[in-house]
Amino acid sequence: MVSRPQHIRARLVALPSPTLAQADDATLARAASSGDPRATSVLWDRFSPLVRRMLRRTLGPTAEVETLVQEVFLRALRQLGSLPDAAQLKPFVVAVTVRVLSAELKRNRMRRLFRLQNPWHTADLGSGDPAARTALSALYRILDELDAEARLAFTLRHFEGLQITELASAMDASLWSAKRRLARANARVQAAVSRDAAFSAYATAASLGDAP
Amino acid sequence: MTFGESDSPTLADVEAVVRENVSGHVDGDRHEQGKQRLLASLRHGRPRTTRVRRVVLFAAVLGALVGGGVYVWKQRATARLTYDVAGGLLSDSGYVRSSGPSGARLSFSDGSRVDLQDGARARIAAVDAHGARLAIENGHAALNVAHLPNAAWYVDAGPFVIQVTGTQFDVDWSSYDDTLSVDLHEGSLVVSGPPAPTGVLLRAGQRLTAHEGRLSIEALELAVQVAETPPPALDPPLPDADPALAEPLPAEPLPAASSPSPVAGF
Repeated sequence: MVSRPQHIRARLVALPSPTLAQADDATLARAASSGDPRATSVLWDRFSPLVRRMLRRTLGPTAEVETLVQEVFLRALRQLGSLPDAAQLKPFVVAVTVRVLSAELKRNRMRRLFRLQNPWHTADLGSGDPAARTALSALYRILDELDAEARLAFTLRHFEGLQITELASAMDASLWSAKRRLARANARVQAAVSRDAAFSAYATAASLGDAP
Repeated sequence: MTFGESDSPTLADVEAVVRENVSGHVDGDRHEQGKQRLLASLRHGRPRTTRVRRVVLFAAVLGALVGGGVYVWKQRATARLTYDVAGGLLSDSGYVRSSGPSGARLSFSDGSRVDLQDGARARIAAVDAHGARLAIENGHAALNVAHLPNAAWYVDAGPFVIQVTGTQFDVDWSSYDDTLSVDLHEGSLVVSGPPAPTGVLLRAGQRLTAHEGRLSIEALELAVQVAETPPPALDPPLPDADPALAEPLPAEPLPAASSPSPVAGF
């Protein structure tokens, strides 16, 4: 048997596999944990939008998240072999993302304490609607005041729609603890947005149909 | 877009503004770039994550601190003591004599001090990291030796050697009549010489006197009282050595003075 040159093989393995692309999560998890590069490609196609969205919605739309997306996938691929139930691939990826987010939020808090990170600025936000940019800027300033756990509980519940049991599982916390963090975050965010003139104006305009 | 109907914004308004304006979508090129970056990382070995880098950095800083600490400690442990002389003259050979009526003071870098009375002569025979060897040639010297771990000081007075670890005492050596007097105020020391070749342990509050081959130890207070009383008409003999006070030590030869320095092992 004639072996293929290494560079040709490297190109071939990067191609998506039609079979794996249609495979269920359990099959994909098993293939990825065995080191199949085609499975990695499919894993990226399937979950990177979810991971990126979670990172952006938790850290803020201006955050540079691509490095963190890479970190999530590298961690997930490294730990995939220890996944007890391969069918639980999506919750597993969510849990890894939450761990990366938790560490990043703590780092960001330290950076803000030492003033190494710029405060939110409306010009940095990507949204095309200036009113929405102002509201988002106000909202993420409010979220910056929360500790990492409360902020994660809030964003996972309200922006990603996780149920409280899923939230507790993703945060590796008890149900009671997850509820307590969420309740604390809800109360603080509700009070803060009510007091915030920019966010109130945007919400009022939106409710009247002025906002796009 | 549907927002809360009440005047103040609700959490539903918060959810709406984020869900409608922040997505995880990127264009096809960026998606593909991310995938290729991941595959490249896996092919060429996964890059160290931030956590690993932090641990490595922490370990490096810790190692540098420990290494630096050990280096400084070793330097301090092996560095010879330094000293200076005030009120006296010091020759290149280590010979010291007072230059005024107030005497000379030798101050060592470990905090030890030696005060030579007016007219006293001494020689610094050797200095190392743990102490010094001082030879009193004649006269009175008051020593205050810092009590430090591994401190090793020796005072030579004629044929006698005083071994010190950390204490405060006065030495008087007369080279004219070969008389040694040691008043110990603190700590303990060992005196060895012709009358006690294996050494005699002297404790705080004791005075040792050696003269004409005889050695005696008495309580310092008593000796001071005796000294303050008028001397008798005839010169009395020195009291005999008190065998209870003079405790012979196991035969352990004391190192000889070495000159020139350093004092390897004393």
